[in-house]
Amino acid sequence: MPELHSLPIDSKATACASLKLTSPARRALLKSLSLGAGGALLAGVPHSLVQAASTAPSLLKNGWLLRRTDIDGSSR
Amino acid sequence: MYQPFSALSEQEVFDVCVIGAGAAGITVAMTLAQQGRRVLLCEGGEASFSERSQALYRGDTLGDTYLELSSIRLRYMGGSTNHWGGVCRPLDAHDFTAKQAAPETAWPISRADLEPYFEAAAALLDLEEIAPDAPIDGAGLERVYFSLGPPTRMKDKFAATFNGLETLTYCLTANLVDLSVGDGRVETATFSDFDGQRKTIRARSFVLACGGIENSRLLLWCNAQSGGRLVPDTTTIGRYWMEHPHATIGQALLFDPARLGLHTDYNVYLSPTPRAMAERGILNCGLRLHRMAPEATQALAAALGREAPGLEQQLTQSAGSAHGVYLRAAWEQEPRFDNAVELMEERDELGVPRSRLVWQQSALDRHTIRESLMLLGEYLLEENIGRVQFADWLAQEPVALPEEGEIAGRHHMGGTRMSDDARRGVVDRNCRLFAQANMFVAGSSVFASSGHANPTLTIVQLALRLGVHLNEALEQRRV
Repeated sequence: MPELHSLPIDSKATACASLKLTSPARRALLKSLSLGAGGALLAGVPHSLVQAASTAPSLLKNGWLLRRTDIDGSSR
Repeated sequence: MYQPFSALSEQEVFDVCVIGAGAAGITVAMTLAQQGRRVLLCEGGEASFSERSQALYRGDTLGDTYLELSSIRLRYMGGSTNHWGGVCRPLDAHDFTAKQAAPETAWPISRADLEPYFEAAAALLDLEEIAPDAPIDGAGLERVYFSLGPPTRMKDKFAATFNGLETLTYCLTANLVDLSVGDGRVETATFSDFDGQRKTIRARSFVLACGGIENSRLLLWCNAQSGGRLVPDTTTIGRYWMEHPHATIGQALLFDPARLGLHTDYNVYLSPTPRAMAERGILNCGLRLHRMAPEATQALAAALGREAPGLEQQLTQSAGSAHGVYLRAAWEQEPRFDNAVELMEERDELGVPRSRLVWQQSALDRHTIRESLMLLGEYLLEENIGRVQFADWLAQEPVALPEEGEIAGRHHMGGTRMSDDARRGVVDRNCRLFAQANMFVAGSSVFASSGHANPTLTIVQLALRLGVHLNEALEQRRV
């Protein structure tokens, strides 16, 4: 992990994306790498993995940053 | 007092020859002249705009879309203070430190070194009072403030001072074409007017203050002519050049505008906290929220409603109080060796090679703006006080930078970077060329990093500091 910390941001995300981890483990990894969801997306981490790792699941729909419940209409 | 170029004495030895009469040059020259130093202030342009002077600014750009080099600065008395907008804010204290995402942001000085000059700089620039920054609980953002003008036109404001100070001589159409180097000292500066007449000026010390592109260009050229004796270590000369990228980054609907102060103010400015910057691996960024007209707010709410049916109740409840905001931003650019001012083969009318600006935004620059907006978007989402819509170019992966619109702030920084190490910078912490005892550089070209604040206030603070330092050096005969 210390080695990953010293990597540039793009390399961190690439390294993270290449790991086969469960969602909780990936969440912990992202958190430990100080890599926000936006940064991970930007640097190429698949969207599904980032969402799984996010503590506040959100997604971009036509540019809007929304909760899934905003879209499907279920009550909050 | 004014002296025509043709009447300049080549025999007189001035205490200080200041090259360039923009914000930095005027400040240094007045500071020293008011302390009794014999100062010659040399402006390359004329008293007002002229095509023949402005044409010397033509150059080339390479890399990302940038702006025509002759259209983003002004080359006459007063320099770019003749067209600036007057927006000012000091750099943040953390802007002077090594940021986690890019340690090259560190300066060899701290904000405390510039604070003694804040009041004098504010008076010179007629600043409004700037309120203290205010962190927003739980957001990773803080509300920040600027002085928003009106802009001070230095040429006009200080015309009477220029003409009334006996110790200050100023001239026009004095274009630097050469610096002669002796034993660790600059001996003379040679200037040319537009007719090709040349004058060689002698002074105990020299200050180069020609702007954030020209300082690099002229040092590169004069160094080449000196056979590399002016700046023996050329590793960083012209390099680590920076801008503040500017863009419209999206819009937002705020269900509860009071949480961000937008119930009373029409414009609100936000920045990530140092902790948020470290956590997200980003540099500094100024998010600018501009309140929409009611009709535009209604249209935005309708658009959000179509994308997010689950927000119907929320949108209905907040219909009377919600505000739409346009989102713009200016962000800090990573100091990178590859972004640089270079000399072209083509020469200007006076025989000096034109500038080529190599400018690209890095992955970190793109990450900074994307993640800064994500920070705001996630805060609004988590608190359920609004929703952000990313601009198309920013919603894409990878981010596709806009090729039209603002592009950048016309803030030219770096190129003669300040450092404690001659291998990593061009000037020392006192803005002196490492290899010359009596040659200094003033202006934003000495910035080691840029933060997100408009640079003029920092330029003037640094120039005042240089004036004090140089006066002491003259007093102690160190120059």
